Amino acid sequence: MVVIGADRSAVSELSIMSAASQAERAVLEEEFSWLLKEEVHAVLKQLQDILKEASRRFSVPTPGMEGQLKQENFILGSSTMDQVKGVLTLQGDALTQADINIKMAKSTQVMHFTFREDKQWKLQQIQDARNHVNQALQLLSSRDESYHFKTGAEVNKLMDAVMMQLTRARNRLTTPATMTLPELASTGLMRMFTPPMPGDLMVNLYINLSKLCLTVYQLHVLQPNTTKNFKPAGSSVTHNPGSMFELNNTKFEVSHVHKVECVVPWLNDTLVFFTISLQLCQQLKDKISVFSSFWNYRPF
Amino acid sequence: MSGNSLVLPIVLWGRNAPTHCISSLLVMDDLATIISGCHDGQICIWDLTPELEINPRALLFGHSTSVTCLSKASASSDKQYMVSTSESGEMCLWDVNDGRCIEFTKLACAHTGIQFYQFTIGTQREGRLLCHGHYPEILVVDATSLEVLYSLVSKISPDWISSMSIIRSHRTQEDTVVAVSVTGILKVWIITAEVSRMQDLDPVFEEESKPIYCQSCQSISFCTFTQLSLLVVCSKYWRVFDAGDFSLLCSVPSESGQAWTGGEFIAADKVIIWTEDGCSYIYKLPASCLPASEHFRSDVGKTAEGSIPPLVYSIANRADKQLLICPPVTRFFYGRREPFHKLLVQGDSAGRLTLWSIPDTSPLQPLSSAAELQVSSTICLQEAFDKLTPLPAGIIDQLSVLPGAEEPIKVTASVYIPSQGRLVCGREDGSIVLVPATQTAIVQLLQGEHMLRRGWPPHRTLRGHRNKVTCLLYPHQVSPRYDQRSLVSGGVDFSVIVWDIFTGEMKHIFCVHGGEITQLLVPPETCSIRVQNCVCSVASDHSVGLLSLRERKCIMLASRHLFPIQVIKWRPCDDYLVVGCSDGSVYVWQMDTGALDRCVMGITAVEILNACDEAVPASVDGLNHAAVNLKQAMTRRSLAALKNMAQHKLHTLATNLLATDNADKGNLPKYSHNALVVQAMKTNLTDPDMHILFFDVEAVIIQLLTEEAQRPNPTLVSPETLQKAPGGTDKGGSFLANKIFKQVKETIKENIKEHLLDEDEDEEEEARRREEKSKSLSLLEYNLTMDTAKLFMSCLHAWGLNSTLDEVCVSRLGMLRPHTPISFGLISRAATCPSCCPPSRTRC
Repeated sequence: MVVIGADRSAVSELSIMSAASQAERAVLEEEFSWLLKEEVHAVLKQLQDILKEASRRFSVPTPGMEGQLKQENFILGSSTMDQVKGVLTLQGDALTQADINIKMAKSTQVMHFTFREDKQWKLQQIQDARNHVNQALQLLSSRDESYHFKTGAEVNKLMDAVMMQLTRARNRLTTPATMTLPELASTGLMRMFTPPMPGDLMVNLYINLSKLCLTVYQLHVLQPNTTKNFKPAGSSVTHNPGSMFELNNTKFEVSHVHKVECVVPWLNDTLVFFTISLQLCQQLKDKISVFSSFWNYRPF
Repeated sequence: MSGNSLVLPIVLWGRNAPTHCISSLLVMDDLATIISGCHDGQICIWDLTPELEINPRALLFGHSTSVTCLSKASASSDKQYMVSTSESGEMCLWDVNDGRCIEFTKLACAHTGIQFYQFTIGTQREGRLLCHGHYPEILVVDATSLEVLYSLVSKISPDWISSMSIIRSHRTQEDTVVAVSVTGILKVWIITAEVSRMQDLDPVFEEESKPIYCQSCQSISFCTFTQLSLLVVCSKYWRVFDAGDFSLLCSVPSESGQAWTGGEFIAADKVIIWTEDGCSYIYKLPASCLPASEHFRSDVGKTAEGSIPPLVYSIANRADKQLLICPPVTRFFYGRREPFHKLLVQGDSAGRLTLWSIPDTSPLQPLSSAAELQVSSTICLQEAFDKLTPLPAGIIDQLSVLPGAEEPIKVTASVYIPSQGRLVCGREDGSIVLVPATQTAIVQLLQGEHMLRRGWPPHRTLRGHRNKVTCLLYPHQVSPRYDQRSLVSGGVDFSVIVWDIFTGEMKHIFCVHGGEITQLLVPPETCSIRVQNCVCSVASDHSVGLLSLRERKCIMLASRHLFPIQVIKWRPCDDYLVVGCSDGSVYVWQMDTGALDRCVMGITAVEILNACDEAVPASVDGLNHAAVNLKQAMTRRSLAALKNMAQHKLHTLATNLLATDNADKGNLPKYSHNALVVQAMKTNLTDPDMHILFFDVEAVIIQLLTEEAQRPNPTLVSPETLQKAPGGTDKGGSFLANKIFKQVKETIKENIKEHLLDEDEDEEEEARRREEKSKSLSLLEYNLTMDTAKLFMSCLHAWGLNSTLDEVCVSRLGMLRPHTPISFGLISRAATCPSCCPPSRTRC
């Protein structure tokens, strides 16, 4: 199998290969045109149906009628502890009411916080996911049955664009933002509450997968003359007890972390829809790639 | 010149222009430059003559994902800057004139639009970039440092901004930003001097928020002619609003299911609107939209839906639409300086730019039938390549043109073996060619007697794959534990073949995958002994295999991944192979048993991947599909290696070598001596490879001096020419010269040491070495250093300026004239952003 110097091409072998594939090519070509004409549209239709269903779950506010959105209450709890309890009201992408009870460690005192009347907390994750799905739907709606796909590359390009939106929509829900503790302190969430939240408490609200999560951090101030090695904690979704940070020239350490959560059923649905649609897209791409690797072949 | 510029890239493009599927467009204010960004992340700079002729000038590599938007980033005409952003949130600031990347940042979220705005504070002017995208604010970014200064925030129903426009009115002193959110709410922010002075991160809230019921808004633009109206284009209709109180003046629906994608005012009474499929229409606005008319605002409050204003011109895209794989991008620009052309520019997926010059006058014929506007100028990247004579050279074109065939066989995969100075090219027809890199480059670029020889330079062809070779790996280069004879290749025929490059023998064929091989990788050092003798192969059927080169069998096959494999990472201490898929899921496989340990998603998946990075030193990091992941390749293979060399190279290496007398001497230093590195590059997976030759100027000089000192006889290279060489390329020389001479000394010392060690070696070992050496050299006998220097100097010399000097160069120094224009590249400040010029602008 070694040729040194000039290219001595194995002409005979190649001609046999191309001749044998002639009939095969005809069949494949026919199959490919079926794929472009029929199958692609069938998949796109199915995708649209699924995504419309997903988009319907995110009740979209129409301008001027925000008040008519459905309100849902979620009771947050944890199987392992009962120091923190909360009831959150979700309306579209915003938390409109909150009712949080925190039993402080080392005391029997129960603290009670609610959202201020004039405030609501927007869950950016939900809005982003909704917008990404709608963009995916817009991409799909521009290619209805009347559109004639001419190449596999065209379908791949469309699928890539749709998959990017869907992956982002899903990632927004599955991967909450990582924040440092000072960043969390500056979000303004702590200023939402009445009575005002004391300086030794911090809360974080986010979506993780299909769950609405509330994390409460109990802090204590590190004395300036402490012998402890001060090492500020990095970005994370939840910080562990012992994490340290500095805010307004005061050093803090997290002493207790309480996490409570509650499943939002419709978010679970949307995640399932995203996963199914992504798989459908990938399968369509795989089907096309079978042919395109064949077209690439040119006998020399 | 800075330390970085010691590395000089020369690009061999090949005849096929890189894929350039245009995703965004920009015309600079002076109408002399067009800039296009593409879906693969490259940016092309095109020169535009006053006669509207277009020519590509440079291709900039900086982004790893699709370019989402381009904007100018400076107001002055002498320093032309532009900014580009990509899908993954990267932002690059470029100098348009020389293609340097000046600044680079990355944010977590993607921008979809940028507008440049110049604040004037007294006499001081500061450039700002207003960005919007997949986030609910408008970010105000400094145009020189790319730092986020503050943001414009909505109080009432905040949502993503779909488009935005800056209104500058002479009537009021304050400039405003008008934006439409995805839910169709119009928002107004005032950006006055007070705001511009503010440096803290306080957000600015909107001044006004008004629902205008424009779903899926595509563009919003302000009429600069009357300064009284706004054009909002949505996919199903376009509307004109009063810019003062945002009342609707007219609304025009789209006809026959066309989807509008943008529009702009071209005169006080005319608008141009374009569609998704690349057609454009110029409409004359009804009297109710014209501030000059007495009927202005006469329709406010009435629904004027349905009446379609008279069409002045229609512009159909006549290009062959068969080729388009995604909707083209259309933009309108007018010159703010001479010549005051009004230009409609369109870029499509085939890399074609089309220009229409919009006349100011209406056609003479009656308005009932719209006149067709003719294309002023059009060109695509491939056409520009084809126009060149001679055609742009590919790295092994002379070996690839078969008798009777027009085009050379495309190179689809390549790997450079620096220790032998050889380039391995896998081709479209399944053959693999081994060729000395400098010699083949000399044939491609320079004139000389070699032009007459057929089949020159001597090469070796390996045949075994039945179809395109998709990837190549020379494991010994990554780790010395592999046999230096082995070369591994993967193809579209699903097979992985192991070759002996010295004998050309095919050692083994692995057929374990059910799809074409997409990547070949080397496991890290710390893996178990069994895995250490493996290479890792990834195939398009979403499977990963560990192929043992010693046992000649597949020891593990991890398949059933639902999505394409994006990244492979290792946890050697736990015996885990971590597979990251394109949908974000992560599969953890046990290498020993082949059992699937876990499959996770979301935050856990991210954490597992990050944990692998911490455990493994960066140098052995998984995926390095050299040709595909350009950024990685640039940082890792070439720049890292080359920069390392240029800066602290021999110091550490030489001392290490002298200190540790025994272990693996031959390997490390040899690689580091390379004056030349050949890097293959692909802009798109389907493209053939193009090759970049990176010359490390410093290494060339060191090698020449070293060899010179070792040779007793005076040779072709005299010390004078050597002095000249650094003098010509490097102006601030004395420090450098000192450093170089020091290094030369050390290298010589090192070489002597090596010789001594060679003699100390076991007889057997030495015999083996000698045999290998003779085998590797049996292909041809040549002087790598001299060839590299010859190639480099011949490319660099400014031929034709001084005929006496040219004569001296040819006769005395043995330099060769280039027969083909040489395209130089440029590596700019941000190490990941090299840019290369296509062959249109040349130096001969």
